[in-house]
Amino acid sequence: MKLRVFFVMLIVLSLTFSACTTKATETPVVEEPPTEEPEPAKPTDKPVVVEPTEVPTLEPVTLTFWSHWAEEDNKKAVLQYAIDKFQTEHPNVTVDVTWWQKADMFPAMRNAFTAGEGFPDIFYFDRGGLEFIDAGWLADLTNAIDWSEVKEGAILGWTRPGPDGKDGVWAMALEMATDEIYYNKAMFADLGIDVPDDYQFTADEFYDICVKIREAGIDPFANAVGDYAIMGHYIYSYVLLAQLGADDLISLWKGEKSWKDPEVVEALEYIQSLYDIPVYGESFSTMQLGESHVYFHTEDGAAMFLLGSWYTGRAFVDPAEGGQPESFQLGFLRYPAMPNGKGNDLKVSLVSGSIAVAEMSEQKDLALELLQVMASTEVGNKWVTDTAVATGIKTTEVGGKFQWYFEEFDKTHVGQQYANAFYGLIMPADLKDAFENILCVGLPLGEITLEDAIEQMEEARLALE
Amino acid sequence: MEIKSPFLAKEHKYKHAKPKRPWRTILLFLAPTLVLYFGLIFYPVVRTVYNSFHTLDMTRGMEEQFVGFENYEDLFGKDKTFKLATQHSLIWGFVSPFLEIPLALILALILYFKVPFERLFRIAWFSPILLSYVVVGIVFRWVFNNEWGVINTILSSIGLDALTQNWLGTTETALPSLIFVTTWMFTGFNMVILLAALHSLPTELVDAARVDGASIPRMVRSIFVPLLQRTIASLLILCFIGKMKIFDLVWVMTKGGPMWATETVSTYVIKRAFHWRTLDLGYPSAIAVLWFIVIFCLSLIITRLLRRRELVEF
Repeated sequence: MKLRVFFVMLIVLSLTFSACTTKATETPVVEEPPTEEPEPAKPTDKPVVVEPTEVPTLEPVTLTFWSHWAEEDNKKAVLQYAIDKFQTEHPNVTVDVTWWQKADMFPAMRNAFTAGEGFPDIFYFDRGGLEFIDAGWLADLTNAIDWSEVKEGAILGWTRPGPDGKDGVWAMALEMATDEIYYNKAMFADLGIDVPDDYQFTADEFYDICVKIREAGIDPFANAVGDYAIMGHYIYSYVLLAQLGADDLISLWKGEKSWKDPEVVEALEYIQSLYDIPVYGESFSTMQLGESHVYFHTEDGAAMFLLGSWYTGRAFVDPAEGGQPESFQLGFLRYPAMPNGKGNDLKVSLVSGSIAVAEMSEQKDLALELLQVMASTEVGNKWVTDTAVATGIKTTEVGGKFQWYFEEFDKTHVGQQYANAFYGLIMPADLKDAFENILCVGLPLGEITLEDAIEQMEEARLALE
Repeated sequence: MEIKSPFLAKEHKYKHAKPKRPWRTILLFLAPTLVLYFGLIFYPVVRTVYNSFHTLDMTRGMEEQFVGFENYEDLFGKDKTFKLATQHSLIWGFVSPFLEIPLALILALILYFKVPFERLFRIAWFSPILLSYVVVGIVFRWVFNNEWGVINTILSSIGLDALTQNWLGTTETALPSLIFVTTWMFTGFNMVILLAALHSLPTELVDAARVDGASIPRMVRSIFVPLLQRTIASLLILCFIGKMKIFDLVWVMTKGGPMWATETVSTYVIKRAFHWRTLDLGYPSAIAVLWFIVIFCLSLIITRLLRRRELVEF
């Protein structure tokens, strides 16, 4: 019996060790060509011919790249273009791309970085992983790549303190969004709404057109918070930015400025007046982001859509896949101008889908070279042309089938100033949770009064101290 | 002459000797399970308790710092969301058993008394438990939709427009709507357990009651319910524990909204761990440890109360 047990254990251990043993990688042995000392030449000797030495071939290397946008073919195509260009320049390098939905990608990256293995060398990055910067998982790109073809705003957008407290640049903004008010031109014309020459209504005018739209049985705004509370934040950003200006708005987002400040209260009262119309539809609490797009551009359910300029990523696809119809007349508006507002000439801009490099990557140099290829005007031009989404890279030409979109954008944004004031990149987590639940969802649903909402926001702000 | 057999002593020795257990073989076969248990259950629990007494100060790198009971103090002191989440989980845990089990008993009795199409009803009533929370959550988001959901459409069509609600969009109806969904899901499972228990009862009691002229309600009240008390008590405890931990359904349907109206302890732990822009697991670990203690203690209390009446089988 004991002998039987012994042999069973021996077999099990042998199988275990054979499975665990990895083949040792064979390092190529490079034989150095024998060197010969040339004999002193004699006048009558033929010249000595030296055979050229063999150049060792580069080892194959695999670079791992994880990216969001698994369902956005136009963005994938641009990234693949950059990858193909890089691989042509580096024939020994294979870029292993994995396309994700970022909601799945960030937890996987978090686990991999925590474990210290299995993480990608280069990856998609946005505000969903700001703690990765604090953890020291991202390479500081400040002096790592040539930024000459990247916009200053894009560089500033990713300039933040690192784990040592010093400022660094942590990602390259391939996608740079501006927060817009899109409107249905045909619907406005049908309702007899004339858009001002500067595309900016005053606060009172904006209120009046929302009332007119509602009286016609149409929702003024297509926004809904069925899957993302963030969809309810836009009206706050727009009105508060116009009212307070960039510095004070950032101060409010950080929790430094009181929510009971008279200017803030005035802006919130204006927003409450819009809610009383109401500006949102009956499905505000349940409709999801993709449905909101279709509701706006296909079903003519709403006149305006408050959204980042990444609207085009979903809207500029085949209508059969949820894209807007070719006949849809899309327009831009500026934010409503608040009386005595300090930021009436501003719009929110923010770094969005970006690319970062892992600090711990064993192929960091190669990853930085791939990033450098992406941070080029050539790739920027292709991005804008193929996706119609703004980029943080300097561009020289914009063409293609979305030319009309950029002409419309340029027409509407003459002299427009921008503020890097997106709440998602600035607000502390506790305050952000309160803001999204109370103001983005609760107040528009009528679940809380404005006075109580301000009180609770102030409580959340004070709890930070 | 006394003959001493040399074999008798050995026989005596072997007769009273305890058989040796083959510990090596036992360990060899237990090893895989023990590895899985310690790796996937024991270590995570111990690590969570450890994390609850530490914090990760991101401004000082990735080093953990022992903070004692500071996380627990914050939990009891200033976390209003945790208090809301606790209320919701407790409401769910205590209300659900009193909805699911009586309804399950009624359905089980219907099947026990062999109604027509009994097999079809059994399949139909049991099927919901076969679906995952994700599938159920997505389907019921459509059912509860304010504009075109099934419930509001039916109410409107029969002239009950006044009863139509934004079921998942108001703080008053969101949690009851979710409780409705879990009742729909788990009643069938409880029904099957109770039906099995009914079939295990001695038939002589039922026959004798029939002979004595007892009506069905009387049989239910005097025979079935008393004899099923142990099964009911076990189902009650399981239902309670299950609802105190619920996460998937809430995450798919409401993510804890609107305005924390459906926030449960489980969803709050996930938010604090992975959506709070930090890698510090100390605070969410404290929530998890505290909730484990709460569920354990409440389950123990309920078990002890029921055991006094000899209702619990374990």
